[in-house]
Amino acid sequence: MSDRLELRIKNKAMYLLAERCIFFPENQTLVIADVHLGKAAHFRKAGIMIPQQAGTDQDFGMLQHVLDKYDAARIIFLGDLFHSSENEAWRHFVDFSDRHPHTELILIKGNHDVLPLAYYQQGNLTVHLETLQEDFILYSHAPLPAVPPGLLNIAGHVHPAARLKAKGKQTLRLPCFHLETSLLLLPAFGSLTGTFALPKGNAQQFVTTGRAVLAVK
Amino acid sequence: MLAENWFKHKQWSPHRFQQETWQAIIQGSSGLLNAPTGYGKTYAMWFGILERLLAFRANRKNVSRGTYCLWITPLRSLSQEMVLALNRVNDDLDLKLDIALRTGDTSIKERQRQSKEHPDVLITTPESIHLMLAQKGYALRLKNIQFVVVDEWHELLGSKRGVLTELGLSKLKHLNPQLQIWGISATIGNLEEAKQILLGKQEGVIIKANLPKETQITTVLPDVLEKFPWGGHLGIHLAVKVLEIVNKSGTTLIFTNTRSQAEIWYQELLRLQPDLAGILALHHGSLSEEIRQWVEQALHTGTLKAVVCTSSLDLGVDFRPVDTVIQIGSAKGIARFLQRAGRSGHQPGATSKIYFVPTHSLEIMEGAALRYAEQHQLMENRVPYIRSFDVLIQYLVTLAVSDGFRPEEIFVEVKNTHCFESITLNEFAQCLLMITQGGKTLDAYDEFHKVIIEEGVYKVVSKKVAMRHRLSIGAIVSDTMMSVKYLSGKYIGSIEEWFISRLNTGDTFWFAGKNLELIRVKDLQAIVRMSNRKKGLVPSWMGGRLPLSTHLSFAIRHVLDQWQGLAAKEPEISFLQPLFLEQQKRSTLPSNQYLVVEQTETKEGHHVFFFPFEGKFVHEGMAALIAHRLGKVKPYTFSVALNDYGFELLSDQKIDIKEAIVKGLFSIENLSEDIQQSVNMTELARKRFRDIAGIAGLVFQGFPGKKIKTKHLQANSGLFFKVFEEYESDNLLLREAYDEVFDFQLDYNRLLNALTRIANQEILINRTDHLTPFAFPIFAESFRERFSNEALEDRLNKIIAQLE
Repeated sequence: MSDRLELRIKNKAMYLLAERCIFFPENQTLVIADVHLGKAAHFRKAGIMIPQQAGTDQDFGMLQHVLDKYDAARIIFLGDLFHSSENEAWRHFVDFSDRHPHTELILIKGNHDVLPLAYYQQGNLTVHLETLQEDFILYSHAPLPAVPPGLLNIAGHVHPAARLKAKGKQTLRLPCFHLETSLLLLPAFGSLTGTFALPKGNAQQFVTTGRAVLAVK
Repeated sequence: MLAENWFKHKQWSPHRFQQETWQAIIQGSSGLLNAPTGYGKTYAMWFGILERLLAFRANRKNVSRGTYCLWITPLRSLSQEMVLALNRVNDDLDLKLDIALRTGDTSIKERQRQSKEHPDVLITTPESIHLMLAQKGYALRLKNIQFVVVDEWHELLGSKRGVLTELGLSKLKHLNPQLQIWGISATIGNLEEAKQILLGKQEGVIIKANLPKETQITTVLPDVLEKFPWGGHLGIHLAVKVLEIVNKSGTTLIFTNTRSQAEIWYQELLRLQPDLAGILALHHGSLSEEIRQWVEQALHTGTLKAVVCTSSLDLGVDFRPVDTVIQIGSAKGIARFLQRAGRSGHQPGATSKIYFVPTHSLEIMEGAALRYAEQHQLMENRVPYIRSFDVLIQYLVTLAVSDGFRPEEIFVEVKNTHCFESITLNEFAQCLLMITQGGKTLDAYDEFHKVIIEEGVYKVVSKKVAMRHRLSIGAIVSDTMMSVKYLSGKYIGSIEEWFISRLNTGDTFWFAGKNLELIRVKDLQAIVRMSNRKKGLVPSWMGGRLPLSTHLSFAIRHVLDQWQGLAAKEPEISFLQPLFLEQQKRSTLPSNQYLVVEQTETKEGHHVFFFPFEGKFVHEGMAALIAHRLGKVKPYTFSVALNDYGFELLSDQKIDIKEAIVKGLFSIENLSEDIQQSVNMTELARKRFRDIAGIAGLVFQGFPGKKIKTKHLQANSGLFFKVFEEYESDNLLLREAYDEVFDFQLDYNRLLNALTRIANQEILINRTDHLTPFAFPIFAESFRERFSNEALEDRLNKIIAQLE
């Protein structure tokens, strides 16, 4: 079992990573969806008790880990990078971007990304409000209702999971990559996120355990 | 005495227990009245209270009138009835008392009137008391209360609403140390304990009505055993026989165990006998108040022939026209069964008639077991919750929302309740930490503000926090509910969101006895219209998985063990004889002497069945234990199915059960450790944590129909659970989840007793070619749990390999 799975679309190679994101070797780009940084702090601010360090430490650790492991030059965040209005966790992100001045950071705004634009500048992020097209790939936060012919929409927002069934009436629910004709949905990257069970239908699904990624037959 | 006049006026003569209760109340005692519904327990209380009230006021001419008595009931519908009953006396005797209702439905206008005019008697619910405590200046309003009645205390006792009641009373007692407290309870096994919990450290008396009650239990048997299914939960095969009973009776209540079962039975009865339209009704907790009240009214006036209902009609006022009760499927407990039986024939001396309708073959023997249990008065205990920190945290915030509190005072009050008798200063301090700084915190930048401390007083200053808190007061946590409404806006009832989310627009489903088409979903509303289609889904509501009680399990084991002797006199047993013989032919009949284990293979995999007859929860614990112990030898993944009679482990691998048993599979040695370590413990605790998180205010849902902006604050309790496990594993609420699993879910003591019993049994391992009559109903259970100690990647590999 492998920690990544290579997919070729129109001769472009992309790795589906067990770390719940994708990597394009061609331009050393990581694509990461739905990190939801600062979620715990947002809850605490509203008087809802949740351990303070939940999410944050793990998410930055994982971010650093994939960055090092694949020696990425760019990261495209597909929205919901930061969970809500400003809180202490944003400092960590600014620290992170300061430590990586040579990594290009791009954000496509998601419904949760409600910080004033100045914050993103401070975090060294280039912001795209709706979509970003590179080659035949069209990035967005939520999957687009209509994708122009010939393009592949890569999106987040849904937090897809696959439900697997097997002998002995066993079932297993795991976060997954979900690939349809013109759409590739990414699993949520953040550790403090839930999942939405997406029926497979005619799509291809690739589940991840955190250590391994596997195609669902 | 007022009572004598009034009874004479009504040409009634009081029961002995009523006179005893009046006397005890007049003398100033507190206590517990044990009396069934329909025998005038309300008047037994009320005339005593009246005498006290009038004497109290006569002695203190110059005191301002304030609320004298709180009457707490578990159900809103009951409280409505109580207002009518008390006002009847009020009018007859021209007492001019202000008797008012205070529940979640009370209008703002009426609430304002109440806070100005202080009604003499407030009829209310445990939740409403906490809502009153969440209002500024509550002490002024509540300090004049001299008397509290807790009606149907046995119902509240075994739930966290009982804890809410205990805490509410602790505050009232603090405001007025002379407070007189009375409970009213049906017969339960632990009446004395029930009294003690209600009264706290006060002394009190128990008065028992001791009215002779005849109950006639009849099992509805199918014509032929061979055609009756071995498994299942619906019992719909016997619908024709149920109709026969309905047709020859006055008014019949048909009790089912779940709301979906009620919907299905309602449909089926109407289909079989269309002329019941208009005189057959449906009543369950998801239907709108309006529909339910209409049904209840129609029951009073006798215009209905039958009502298909759930536990929603377990309690409450009597419907005089009801002369027959039918129970579909296992009643799970004797007290509950007899309570339902008591809904018919409540005139003193009359016989209650109840029919038991089994849903599968083996269940037929429960009829005989119920009769045995009734004859021997095997009444279950209601086990109270203790150390419910979630409720305590909610209560502390409630006090902080209104006038604020000083912890040193509250600690003393709380420690005097039964629930928190054992709380330590350290634990109390942890609760305070959770509401002031959200548990342990390390970071100076932290922005947690819920309760703040000003000069030693703990209070909530944020209006948002206060509003959210008021909306979440209570100890009943449900799934997110969606209102079901017609296009016109008329509200029909509410259904769990997850059910609606599975539907597409245009799909039809059965609800409130109607076939409805989903037009659109907007916010938390499902807009529907009537449909003529014959097919539709039936919402299956979660929950309702009550286990068979200890006492009924005992009765069933007794019947099974003695079946040969009982066959002659118990119709159920003689009817089941061929099934028992079939079981003996294929395997062995479980009895006090043998624990039967059956092993068989199907294309699903390798099955092992066990039949301890101890009820679902104990089986769940036992299955977890056994899966864990088997897993110690080699990694396994099991799918577990269970019912009240036994359980099944199903694996993709062969299980060497014989050797495992020899090596102490059922041993009570290291029981506690093994249970704690069993993988499923975490899973069970996660489920328990859902309610705890809701009560303690971690998960905020708002209310059905009322859309409250909770921007970016939604997360399910599973996520909270995971995070606490990881970062704060000693958190009190997390520990509470595990304790609840131990005490209630797995019922550790009961499990220990069961294993001790098994230690004296001979264990027979039978290999069978086919499923036996005892194994089949378990095999057919659709709900399954999973236990695994294999690595996730290994399991995934196996699953993927099978899919290829």
